[in-house]
Amino acid sequence: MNNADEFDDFLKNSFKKINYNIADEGFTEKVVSNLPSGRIFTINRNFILCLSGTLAVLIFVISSGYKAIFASVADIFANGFHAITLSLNSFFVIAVFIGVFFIISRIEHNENTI
Amino acid sequence: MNFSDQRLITLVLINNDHKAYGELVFRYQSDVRGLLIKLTNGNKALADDLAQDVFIRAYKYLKTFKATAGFSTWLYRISYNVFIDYTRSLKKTDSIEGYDCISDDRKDVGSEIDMQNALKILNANEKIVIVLHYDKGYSHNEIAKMMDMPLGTVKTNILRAKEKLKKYYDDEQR
Repeated sequence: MNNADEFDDFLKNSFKKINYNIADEGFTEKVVSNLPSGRIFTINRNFILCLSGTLAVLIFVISSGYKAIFASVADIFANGFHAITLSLNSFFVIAVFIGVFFIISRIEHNENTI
Repeated sequence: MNFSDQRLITLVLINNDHKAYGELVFRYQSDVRGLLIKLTNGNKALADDLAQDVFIRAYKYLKTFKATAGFSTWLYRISYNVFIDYTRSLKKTDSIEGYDCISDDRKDVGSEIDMQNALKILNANEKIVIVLHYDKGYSHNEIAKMMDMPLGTVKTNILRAKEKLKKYYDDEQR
């Protein structure tokens, strides 16, 4: 056995010596009385994703976004990629997606940092 | 209540059953408070406040608990996060006041003071990995998963902490 092993054993034994069962002494009662009342509402990531997808598609359809796509495709064939310009409709759709991805990443972050 | 942890968790999630959650708190309060006492240099009052935060945070996030790991493992992870949040909230000049718990029916009061003094010289990350490895018996891999740290970082922290502790005990013996 080398010095490192001996020190490992020493640490384990030292912790063992100071381990003891801590009596509850009203701790549980205190925690339970401080629990938030009512149901904890947490938003499901998938729900947000579906909602954002539906919202984006709706905006796209309502604002005649498909016309922008057809126009862009036609532009590609007629003038090449450099001629593509984003319409206001496309900006709406992109903004909704970016916004929702920020929300999802925030939820992801919160779930990982319990 | 003689239910398994999983059954109690289900009761809390479905019925919002505070009594079932109380049973879980009762089962794990000693482990969580014990861990936090070590992390807070033996400051029982502070450890209890943090432990209360741990259980309330666990209650709020109970839905995200995955039964692949034990409930205590999950609680240790939350304890680590709560402790790290607390140390970040301290001003640079503040430090955690030491032991106020060394009085009653403890196994070995001298050893406890000595260990708490030794742990004081470690930073938060070194302290948690040392306690989880040598006290709670978790492997390097398990700690890495639990703390969401790279395995290399866990090994480095343990090595560095051991060197510091060894130096501390060597100096004490002189």
